[in-house]
Amino acid sequence: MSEAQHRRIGDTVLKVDNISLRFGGVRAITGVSFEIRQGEIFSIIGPNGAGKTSMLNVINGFYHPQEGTISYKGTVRRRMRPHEAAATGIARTFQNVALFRGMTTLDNIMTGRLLRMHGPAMRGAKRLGTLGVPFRPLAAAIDFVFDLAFWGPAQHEEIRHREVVERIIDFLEIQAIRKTPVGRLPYGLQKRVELGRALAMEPDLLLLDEPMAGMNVEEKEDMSRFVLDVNDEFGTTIALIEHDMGVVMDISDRVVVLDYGRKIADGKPDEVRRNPDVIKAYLGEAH
Amino acid sequence: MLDFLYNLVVAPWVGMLTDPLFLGEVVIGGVLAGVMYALVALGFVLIYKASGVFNFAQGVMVLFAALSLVGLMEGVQVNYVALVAIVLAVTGIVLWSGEMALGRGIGRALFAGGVAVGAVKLGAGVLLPRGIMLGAAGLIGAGISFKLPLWGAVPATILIMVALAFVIERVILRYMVNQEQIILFMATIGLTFFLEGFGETVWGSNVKKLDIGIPDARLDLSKLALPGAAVAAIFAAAALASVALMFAWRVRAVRSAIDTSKGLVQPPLIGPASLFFGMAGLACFLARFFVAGDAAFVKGKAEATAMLFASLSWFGLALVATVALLALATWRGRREAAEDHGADVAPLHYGWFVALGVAGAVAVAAGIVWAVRSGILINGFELFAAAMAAILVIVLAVFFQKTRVGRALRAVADDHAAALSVGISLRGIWVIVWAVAGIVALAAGIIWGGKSGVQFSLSLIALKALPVLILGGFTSVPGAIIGGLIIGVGEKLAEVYWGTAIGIDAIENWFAYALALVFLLFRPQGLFGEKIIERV
Amino acid sequence: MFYREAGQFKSSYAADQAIFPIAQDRVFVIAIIVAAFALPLVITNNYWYTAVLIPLMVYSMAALGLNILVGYCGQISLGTGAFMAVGGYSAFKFTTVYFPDLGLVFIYILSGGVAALVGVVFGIPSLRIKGFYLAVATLAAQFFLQWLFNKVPWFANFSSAGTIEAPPRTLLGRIAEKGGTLEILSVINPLVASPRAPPENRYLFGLALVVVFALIVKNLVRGRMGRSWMAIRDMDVAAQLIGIRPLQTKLSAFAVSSFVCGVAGAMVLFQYLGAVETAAYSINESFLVLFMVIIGGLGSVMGSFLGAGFIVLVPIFLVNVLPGIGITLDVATRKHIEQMLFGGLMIFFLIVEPHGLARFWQIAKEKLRLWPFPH
Repeated sequence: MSEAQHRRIGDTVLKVDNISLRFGGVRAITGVSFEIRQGEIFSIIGPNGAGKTSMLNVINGFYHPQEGTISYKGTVRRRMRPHEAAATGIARTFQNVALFRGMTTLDNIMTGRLLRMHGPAMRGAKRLGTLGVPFRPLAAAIDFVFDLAFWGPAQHEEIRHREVVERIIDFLEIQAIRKTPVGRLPYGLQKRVELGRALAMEPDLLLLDEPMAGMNVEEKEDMSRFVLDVNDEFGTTIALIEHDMGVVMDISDRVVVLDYGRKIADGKPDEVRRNPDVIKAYLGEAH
Repeated sequence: MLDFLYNLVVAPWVGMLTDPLFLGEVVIGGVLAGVMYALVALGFVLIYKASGVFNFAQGVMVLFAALSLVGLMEGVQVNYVALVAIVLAVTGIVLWSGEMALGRGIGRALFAGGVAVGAVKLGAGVLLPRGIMLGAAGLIGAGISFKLPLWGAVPATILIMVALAFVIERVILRYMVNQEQIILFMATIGLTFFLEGFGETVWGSNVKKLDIGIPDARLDLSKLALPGAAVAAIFAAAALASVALMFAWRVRAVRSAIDTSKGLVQPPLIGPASLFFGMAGLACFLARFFVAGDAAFVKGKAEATAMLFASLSWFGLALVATVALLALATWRGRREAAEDHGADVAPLHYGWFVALGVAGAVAVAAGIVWAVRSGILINGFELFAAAMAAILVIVLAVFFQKTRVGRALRAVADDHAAALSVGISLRGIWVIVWAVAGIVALAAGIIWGGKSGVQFSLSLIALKALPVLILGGFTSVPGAIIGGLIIGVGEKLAEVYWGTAIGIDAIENWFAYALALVFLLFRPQGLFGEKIIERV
Repeated sequence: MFYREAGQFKSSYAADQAIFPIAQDRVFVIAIIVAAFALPLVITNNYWYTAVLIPLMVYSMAALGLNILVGYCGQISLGTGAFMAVGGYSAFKFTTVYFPDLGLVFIYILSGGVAALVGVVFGIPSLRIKGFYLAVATLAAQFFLQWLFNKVPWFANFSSAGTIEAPPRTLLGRIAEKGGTLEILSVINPLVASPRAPPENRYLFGLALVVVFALIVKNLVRGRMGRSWMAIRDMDVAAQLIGIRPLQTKLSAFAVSSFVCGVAGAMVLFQYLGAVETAAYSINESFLVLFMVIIGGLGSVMGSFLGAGFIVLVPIFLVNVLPGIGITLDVATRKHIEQMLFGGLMIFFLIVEPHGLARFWQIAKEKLRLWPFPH
C-alpha cells in the first residue's frame, strides 16, 4: 500500500462482533466479526448464499441479529431501525435497484437530501441543541407553513439542496437523464442514480450491494472510478459486496470472505487471494 | 358513572348467564349469520388464492346470481329480437378479445351486429307509436316467455355465472396480468358498480322473494327423548371432564405440548378462548346463586339441572377446542422440530388428548341434548344454510388440496409468471376460479335471498365480508369459515347484550370492523393466513 | 407550432421549479381561472349553479384531498365520506354553538383542523398495514363515524329529524357585517352560506377556496413533503433507508388529506346542499371520490379537477341530453345506467390508461408540441 493510502485510513469506524443471524431454521450468519476502518474501501466477498447481503442488512438495521453487537462510531448497539441508521450517516444501495420509479432522476437524488432538508425554523431549533428540543414541534409547524407557499425560506432551502444535487449529477455524469423517470433508464444508469442518491445523503459509511452487477467492462471501469473518487474526495468509508474478483482486488484496501455464513478469511486482497480456504470455497475441493 | 361502568362491564355477562337458553339461541343465530358471511368470504378467498385479485365484486355477484335465479323462476319474457341482439353482442365481445385475428374480426362484426339489432329494437320501441307497435311489430315484439322451476333455474343460473366468469376474464382480467394489486382491486370496484347497474337494469330493482321450498320456521325437536339413567351418566362424565380442564395445565403432556409448539406454531387465542368458555361455564353455574334480582335462590330442581347442563356444555366446548388446537399445534410443532433437529424429540402420549377430547365431546353432547329437550328454537332454514355451507367447504377444500386443477390454482396464486412458465394456462385457470366463485356466490345468494328477499342491499354484504377475511386470513378456506363464525356470533352478542346494557343500538354496523381493526394492528395476516414477509 | 418550448430557457433553479415552466401553460391556466371567476357575469340560471358548478367545486376539493393520500402517498383510503362528515358536522357545531360570529372562512379552517386530527387517529394503523388491509381500516373509520354521527344526537344539536341545516353565514363574520366594528369590510363580506345566499356567492367562494387549496397542495407536492410522500408510495422500504420516518410521513399525508376533505365536507353542508343527514357522507361518497381520483389521474392536481368534472357531468348529461334524442329513462333506470357507466369507465381507464385523464392531457400536450407536424 502506498503512503497516501496509509495516511487516509484512520481508526475503526464500524466493528462487527460475533454476529449471528437466523431465519427460523436457516442460519444466515454465524459468529462473524470484522472491523472496517475510517476511510478505507472494504470488500465483502464470497460464493452465493454466503450471507453477504444479510450482513449489509444487519449493519443497515433491516435485520436484527440474534447474537452479537455492532459498534458504529463508538456506540454499541444491536437493534437499530433503518431510518436511524440513515440519520447516523450510513447510506446504502441495493442489489435490485431500489429507486422510486415514479420520480425522475433529479427527484430521486433529491430524496437523498431529505434528512438534511429542514426549514429555517427547524435549523435554528437544532442549533440550540438539547435546549431547543421542546421548540422542535413549533419549528416544524412554522416550516410547514412556509412549505405551503413554497416561497421565501422554503424556496431558498430547496434551491440550496438543488445545487448540491446538481454537483453530484455532474460528478456522476448523468446530466442528460436528469428529468427522465428512472423507470425508463437502463439498468446500468439506474445503478448510477442509486449511487447518486446515496451520495446525496453525505454519508460517513457507504454500503454498496453489488454495484457492478450486470455491467460490461467499460461500465465497471466507470463505476470503479466513481467509487475511488468518492473515497478520495470525500473520505467516505466504503463497504461493498462484489463478485468480480478483478474489481475487488484492484480497488479494495481490505477484504473479508464469507462462506455459508461464516468468515473464512480477512485481510489484504493479496493475502486473501492466496488463502487455501478461500480457493477451496470458490473452486471446490481438488481430488 | 359507576352505573355506566357496571352496565358496560358486568351487566352483559349477567344477562348472558342468567338465561342460558336465550344465550344459546343468540349464539346459534349468530353462528348462522356467520355461516352466511362465511359463504361470501369463501368466494373472496377462492379468487384471491388463485389469482391474487381481491374481488370486491363478490358481493354484487351474490346479488346478481340471486337476481338471475329469481328472475328465471318468476318467469322471463325474452323478446326474440332482444335475445338475438344479446347473444350476438356477448359472443362478439368474447371473440373480439380473443387471440386469433380472424376471431377478432368476426367478433367485431358480431358485436356490431348485436348492437345494431339492439338499437333497432330500442328505436322501434321508442319511436314507433303504440298503434304500429302492436300491429305491425309482430316481428319486433314477439318473444318467448318461460318460467323455470327451482331445479331447472339453479343449473341455468350456474351457466349464467360461468358465462359471466368467461366474460370477466376476457374483457378485464387478461389486460391486467401484470398490474399491481391495487389496480386490480379498483377494477373490481368498477366491476361492482357495473354489475349492480346491469343486474338491476335487466331484472328490475324491486325486492323479490325467493322460495326454495324449505320452511323458514322452527323445527320441532322435542321428540328426541333419552332415558333418565343415560342422562345421569352423561352428566357424570361431563362433570369429570370439566373438572379435568381446570387442572389441565398440570398435566405434563399438555405442558410439553405447549413447549414443543412454542415458537414454531402459535395457536392463536387457545388459552384465552378456552379459559373464557371454561370460566363462562363456571360462572353460569354460580350465577344463579349470586346474581341480584328475584333469582337469588335456585328455584327448584329443574332449574338447577338446567344451569348445570348449560355450564357443563360450555366447559365441554372449551375442552374440545383446547384439545383440538393443542393437538394440532403439537403435531405440527413436532413435525417441524423433527425436521430441524432430527428425530430426537421425546415421544408424546396422545392418550391424554384423546381422553380429554372425548370427555369434552360428551359434555357438549349433554348440553345439546338438554337444550333440545328444553325447547331451544332452531330454525329449519338456517340449519339448511349451515349444512350447505359445510358441504361447500369440504368440497372446496378437497378440490384445492387433492385435484390437479386445485394444485394449478395454488401455483397461480403464488406467482403468475412462474405458473405461466410451467405451462399452466393462466386464463383458463382464471375462468375456472371465477366460475367457482360465481357458484359459491349463487349458494350465498340462495341463502341470503331466501332469508331476507333479493334486493340491492345484498351487495352490501361484500362490505361485511371484509372483516371476516381480515380475521381468517385472505388465503385460508377454513379461516373464512371461522372468521365468519366469530364475526357472526360476536356481532349478535354485542348487539343483544352490550347494546341493551348500555342502551346503544345498531352496534352491529361497526362491530365487525372494530374487531378487524384490532386484528389488523396485532395480527394482520389473520388467524390462518400466511405471514407477509417483505423482501428487500 | 403554437405550443413550443423551444426558446424558453430556464436560467435559474427557481424558474425550473416553477409550477408551470412553459409559458403557454401559464397563460392557459390563468385564462381558465379568470374565466371561471367571470362566469357569474354570464350564467344566471340557478340550475347551472346548483347542479353543476357548485358540486364541481365541492368534489374537486374532495378529490384533491383524496389524491394527496392515494395518489401521492399511496395509502388507499375508503373513508373519505367519513372525513368529509367530520368536517361537515364539526363546522356545524362550531358555527351554531361555539363561534356563531366567526366568518365562514375561519370556520372552515377550524373544521378542517378537526378533520385532520381525526384523520391522523385513523391513519395510525397505516404504519403496520398496507394496501387492502389499510382500505379495510379506513372502512372501519367510515362505518364507525357514520354510526357515531347518526346515533349521538349532540352532533345534530338534538334535532328530532337528525338533519343539520346550514345557518346563514358571511365570509368574514359578524364583525365585518353591517353593525359590526369593521363595517367597512362589509363590502367584501357577502353571504356565502345557506340556501338564502345567492348561488353566485356560494360558487365564487367555493372557487376561491379551490384555487387557493390547489395552489397550496401543488406547493406542498413539489417540495420536501411531496417528495417524502412519493418516496413512501413508490417503495417505502427504500424510503426508510434514506431517513424518511414512515409513520410521520404517512400521518402527515393523512392529516393534510383529511384537512382538505374536511373542508370539502363543510362545503357540502354550507354551500351545496344546505341541509344534510349522515347519508350524504355515506360510503357511496367515498367510492365516488375514489373514482374521481382514479379517472382523473392518481398523483396529479389537475387530475383531481378532471375527474371531478367528469363524474359531476355524466349524470347531467344523462338527464339533459338523452331526452333530447328521444330516449326517456325513468329515475331508477337512469341511476342504474349511471352506475354501469361509472363502473365500465373505471375499468376502461384502469386498463387503457391507469394514469387517468391527466395522462391523456399530457399526451395531448405532447402531440400539441409537434402540431401540425406528424413527428
